[in-house]
Amino acid sequence: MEILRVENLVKTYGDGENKVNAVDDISLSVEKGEFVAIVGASGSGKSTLLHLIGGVDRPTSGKIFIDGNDITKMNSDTLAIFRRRQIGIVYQFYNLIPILTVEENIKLPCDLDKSPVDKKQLDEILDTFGLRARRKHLPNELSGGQQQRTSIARALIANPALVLADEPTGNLDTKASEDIMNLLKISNRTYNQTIIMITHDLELAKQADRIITISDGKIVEEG
Amino acid sequence: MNTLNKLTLKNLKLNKSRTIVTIIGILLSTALITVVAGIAASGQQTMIDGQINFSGNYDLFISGNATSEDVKEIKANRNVETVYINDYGDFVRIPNYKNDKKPYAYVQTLTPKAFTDCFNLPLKDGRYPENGSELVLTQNFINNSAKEYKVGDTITLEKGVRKTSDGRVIPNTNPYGQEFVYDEQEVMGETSATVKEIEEHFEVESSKEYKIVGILDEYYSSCFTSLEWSVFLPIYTAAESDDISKDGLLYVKYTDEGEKNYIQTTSQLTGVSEERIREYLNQSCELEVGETKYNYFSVNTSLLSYKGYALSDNSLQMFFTLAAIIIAIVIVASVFVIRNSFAISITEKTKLYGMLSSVGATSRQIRHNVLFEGFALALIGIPLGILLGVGVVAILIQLLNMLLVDMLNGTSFVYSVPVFAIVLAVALSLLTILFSTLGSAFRASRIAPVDAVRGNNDIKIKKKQKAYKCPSFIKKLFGMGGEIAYKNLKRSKKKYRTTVISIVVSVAVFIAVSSFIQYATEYSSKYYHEVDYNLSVDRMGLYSDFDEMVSDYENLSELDGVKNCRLEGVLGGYIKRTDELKDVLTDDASIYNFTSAESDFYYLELLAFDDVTYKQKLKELGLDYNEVKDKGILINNFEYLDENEHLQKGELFKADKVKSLNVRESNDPAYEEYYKSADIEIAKVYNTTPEALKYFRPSESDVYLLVSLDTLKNNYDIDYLSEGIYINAENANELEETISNLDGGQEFSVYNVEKMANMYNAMTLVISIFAYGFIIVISLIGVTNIFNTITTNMRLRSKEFAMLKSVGMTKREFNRMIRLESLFYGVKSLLIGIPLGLLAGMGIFMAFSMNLATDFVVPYTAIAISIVFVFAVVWLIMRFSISKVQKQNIIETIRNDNI
Repeated sequence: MEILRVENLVKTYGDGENKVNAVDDISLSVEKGEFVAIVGASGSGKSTLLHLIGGVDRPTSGKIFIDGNDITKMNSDTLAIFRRRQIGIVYQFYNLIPILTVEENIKLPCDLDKSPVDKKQLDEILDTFGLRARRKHLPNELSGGQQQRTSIARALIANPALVLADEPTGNLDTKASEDIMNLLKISNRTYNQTIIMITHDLELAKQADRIITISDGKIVEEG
Repeated sequence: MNTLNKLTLKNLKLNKSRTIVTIIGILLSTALITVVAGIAASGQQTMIDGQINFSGNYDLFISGNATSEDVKEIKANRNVETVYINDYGDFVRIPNYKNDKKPYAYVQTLTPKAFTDCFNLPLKDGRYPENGSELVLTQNFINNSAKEYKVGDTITLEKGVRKTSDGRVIPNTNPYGQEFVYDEQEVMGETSATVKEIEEHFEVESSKEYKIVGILDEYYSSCFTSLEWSVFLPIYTAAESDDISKDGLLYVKYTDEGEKNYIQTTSQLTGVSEERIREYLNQSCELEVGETKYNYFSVNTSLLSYKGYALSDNSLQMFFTLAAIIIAIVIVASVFVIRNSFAISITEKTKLYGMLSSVGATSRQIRHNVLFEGFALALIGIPLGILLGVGVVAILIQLLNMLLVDMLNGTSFVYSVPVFAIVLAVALSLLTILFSTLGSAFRASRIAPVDAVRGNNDIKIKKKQKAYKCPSFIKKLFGMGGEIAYKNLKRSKKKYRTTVISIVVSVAVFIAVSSFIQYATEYSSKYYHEVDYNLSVDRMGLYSDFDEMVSDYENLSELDGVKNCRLEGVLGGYIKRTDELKDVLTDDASIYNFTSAESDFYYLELLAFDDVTYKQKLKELGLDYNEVKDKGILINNFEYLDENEHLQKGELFKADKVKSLNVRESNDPAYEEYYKSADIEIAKVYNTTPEALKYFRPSESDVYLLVSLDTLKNNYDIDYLSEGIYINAENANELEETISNLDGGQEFSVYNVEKMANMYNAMTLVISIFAYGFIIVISLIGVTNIFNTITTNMRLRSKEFAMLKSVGMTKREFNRMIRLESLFYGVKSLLIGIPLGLLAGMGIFMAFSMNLATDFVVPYTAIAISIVFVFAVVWLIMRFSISKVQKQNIIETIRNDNI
C-alpha cells in the first residue's frame, strides 16, 4: 500500500539572479512499512525535501499525498493537527522542550491533541528505548543518545503514518549511532512503521530497504 | 491543566526576574489606575458629603402650600425615595429666658428619619426624638434659658401668639417689640417700610409637657439658618404623621433613577414643564405665579452635579477630565511595558513555539497559550496592584487631611474607593494586558515551524542585502566592538525600538509633568501671592499726617520679636494724556488700564517705603540714594488680557524717552483746583520687575513709580495714601498678641499672613506630592520596561557574545561595545523624548496661559535630570546583564541550544 506519494515537488528560494531550486521537480513514492534512506551532500536539498514532506515547510509547487491526503492543500491549522497525528519528526539536534521531562516530551503530541495516551504503549516505548528510569529527568540531564531516543519515542507515540528522521545520528558517536539505528529498525519491523531517514553516512543508509540519492534538488539515483 | 499551560507556568518560573519585573509593571499600573480612580472617587464623595452637610440629603425642596395629599402623592411617585417634612409647630415662649430680644422658640416637627438621613443634625448629648412629646434642644436655647436643662428633664412649654397692647397679632418673624409700617407709595417698584417700636406681650393659649431626649450641637446649614437676627430659636420634635401646615417645608429625596432624570422627576412633582424647569435651573427665568401650586421650590443642583447627574459644574468637569487624561497616560505607559514584556517573552520562545508547532500544536493553541501567560501574570499582578492602590489612597487621604487642615475649615476628605473604581481598575488593567498580549499571541501563532527548527529568525536579511556601513568615527572611538555594536543596532532595530520607546515615554512624561508642576506652582504662588512678611498692620487710613504714620512704624519696629519691619505707602496717581506725553508712550499704551479708553488720564501708582527700607532697596538695585531720593524709579511693565483672554505683558512708556512725569492725586475734573500734583523726574526705568522689588508690586496691571517717603510727604496729601506696616516676626502669633496689648493697640488692624502662607505651602506640597508621585511611578514602569528589554536582549545574544569572545575579543573591547550600545539607546531615545516632552509642556503652558502671564520656559532642569537618569539607568541595567553574561562559560554558551 502506498503511504506517501510526492508529485513534481519544487521549492524555490529567492528570485531573479539569486533564485535557487532547493527541491527541483522531485517525484517519489513510499510503500507502507518501508524504510527509506535519502542521501546526498550538504546543500543537495535533502533536508528541504524532508521538511516539505513533514509539513513544516510549504512547497513552491507540486503535491504531497500522505495516506491519500494532499497536505499541500491543507491550511496551517489542519496541517498542524495532521502533523501531530500522522507524522513524527526526529531532528539532528533532538529539539526537545528543555523544561519538560522525558515523559512529558514524549507525550506532547498526544497532549496537544488532547487524545489519551495509551499507558501500556507508553510503558512499552519507554522500555524499548531504555528510558523508563529516566522518565522524570529533564533533557539536559541526559546524554545525546538518550535525548535522541526520547525524540524518536516522541515521534512514535501517536502511531503516525510516517516517521521522518533528519540526520538522527549526525550529532552522536558511533556507539550511540548504532543504538539509534537499531531502534529505528526495530520500530520499522515490529510496528511496521514507515520511516524516511536522511543521512550522509552511506554505511547507515545501506541498512535501509531503499536508498534515494539527491543532488542539486534532483533525484539522481533510486533503489 | 493542559501541558501547554503547564509549560507556560514553568517558563514563567524559570525566567523569574522577568516574570517579577512584569508583575511589578502590571502591579504598578493597576495601582496607579486604582489611585487615580480612588482619589477621584474620594474627591467626589468628599464634595457630596460636604454638600449634604451644607444643604441636607435631598433633591427637591418645596416650601409653602403643600398639603398632606401632596405628600401622599409625592411619596407615591416611583422616582421618589422618601419625603422629609420640616413643619413649623407650636410657637412657644422660652421659660425664664435671659435674652430679652429672643424670648420665643418654634417647636419644629421633623419626620423622624430626617434627623439622621437628611440633615445629620449633630447631637451633643442624648438621642433624636421619636414622637411628638420628645424634644431636642439647641445649645442656643439652653444658653438663653436661666434654667440648666439636661437630657431626661421634662419641660413645659407655653404655646401662644404675640400681641400688641391693643390686641393686634404680631407676625412671628418680626423682631421683638417692632412693627413694620409700610409706605403707601412705591419707590422703584418696591414699598419701603419704617420700623416702629411697639409694646408686645405673649398671649398663652395652651401648654404642653415635653421630655428632653437630646441636645444639639451648634449647627448651621442652608436649611436651618441660625436665625441670629430672629426673635425665636428652633427646637425640634418628631412628627407623628405626614400632616403638614401651610408653611411646612418638604425635602424630597429621589431614587437613583429619579436623580438621573431629575428634570423629568421635578417636572412630575411640581407640575412645571421640563423646559421651564431647565430654564429655571439655569437661572435664566423666574417662575411665574401660578405655574406651580407651591409657593417656592428649588432643586439641589450642587448635590446632583457632584453625583455626576448634572454636569454643569465646570471645576468638576475639569477634575474628571484630568483624571481621565492621567489614566490615559498610565494606560499608554503600561501597554508599552506589558506589550514589551510579552514581545520579549515571545522572541525568547520563538524556538519553543516552532518546536511545538512542528509536533502539531495549532496556531489557536499557541495563541491561547500566550494569552494564558498574560492571564497568569494578571492573576498575581492585578490583585496586588489593587491592594497597593487602595492602601495608597488611604494614605493620601490621611496626608491631604493633615496638610490641608487649615484650608478645609473643619471638613475633611473622606476615604472612598467604591467598587466601581476597583472594577474600573481591574477592567482597564485586563484590557491593557489583553491589548498587550494579543499582538504577541498572533505573532507567536504565525511562527513557521521550519524557521524555528532552523534557528534564530530575528535578524531578517531582506532581499537586497544591505551591507551596513559603519561610520569611521565609531570605529576609531570604540574599535571593532563598536563596529559590531553599531551594526547590531542597525540590524535588530525592532528589539532596540522597544527600549527606545519605553525611555521616550518616561522622558516625555517626566518633562511634561515637570512643566505642569512649574506652571501649577507659579499659578498658585500668584494666586496666594508670595510675601516676605507674616504680619501686616495698619490703622485703616486714620492718620492725619505723615509723621504720625512714621512714628507708628518706628514704635512697631522696636518691638521684641520683630525681625524686620517696613512701612509701605501707595498713592494712586493720574497722568494727563497730553501731546508731549504721547511721544513717550509705547503702542501698548492703547490697552493700558481702563481709564485710557474714556478719560484723558493714565492711572499709575506711587510707592514709597520708610527710609531704612528705601535705602536698602536702592542699594540692592545699585542706585545712589543722594542721586535718586527726589526722583522716581519707574517700573514700566504691566499685564493685560488680550482678546483671547490670554494674559499678556506690555510696557507703558518708551524707556529711553520718558524723563519726567506729572502725577496728580485725582482725575475728577470738578475738583481739579484742589488736587495736588507734582512733576517727578524719572531716575531709572525697569521694563521687568527687578528681583529686589518682586514682593512690592501694588498691582500687576498698573505700572508704578518708586519714590521716597519725603517725595510723597512734600507733594501730596495723606488722605489719598493707603499705607501698611509689614512685619516679619519671629513668631507671628505672639507678636500679634503683643501688638493688640499695646497702649492703643486696639486701633491697629493686624492681619496674620502666616496662616495664609501655610495654606499656600500646603497647596504647593500637595501638588508636588501628586505630580512627583505620578512621575516616579511612570518612571518605575519605564524602568521595568527597559530592564526587561535589555536583560533579555543580552541573554538572547549571549551566544553571539560567546562567539565574539571565542574569536578573541578582549574584555575591554567587549565593554566598549556595550557602552556604545547604551549610548545609542540613550541618545536616540532622548532625541525623541525631549522634543515630545517639550511639546506636551507647551500644551500645558497654553492651558495655563489664560491665567498666567509668563513666557514659555524650557524646563532645563527636567531635561538635565532625564539625561542623567536615562544614561544611569541604561548603563546600570547593561552592567547588570553583562555581569551575568561574563560569568558564562564560552563553549557551554555556544553549545547551549536552549537559549
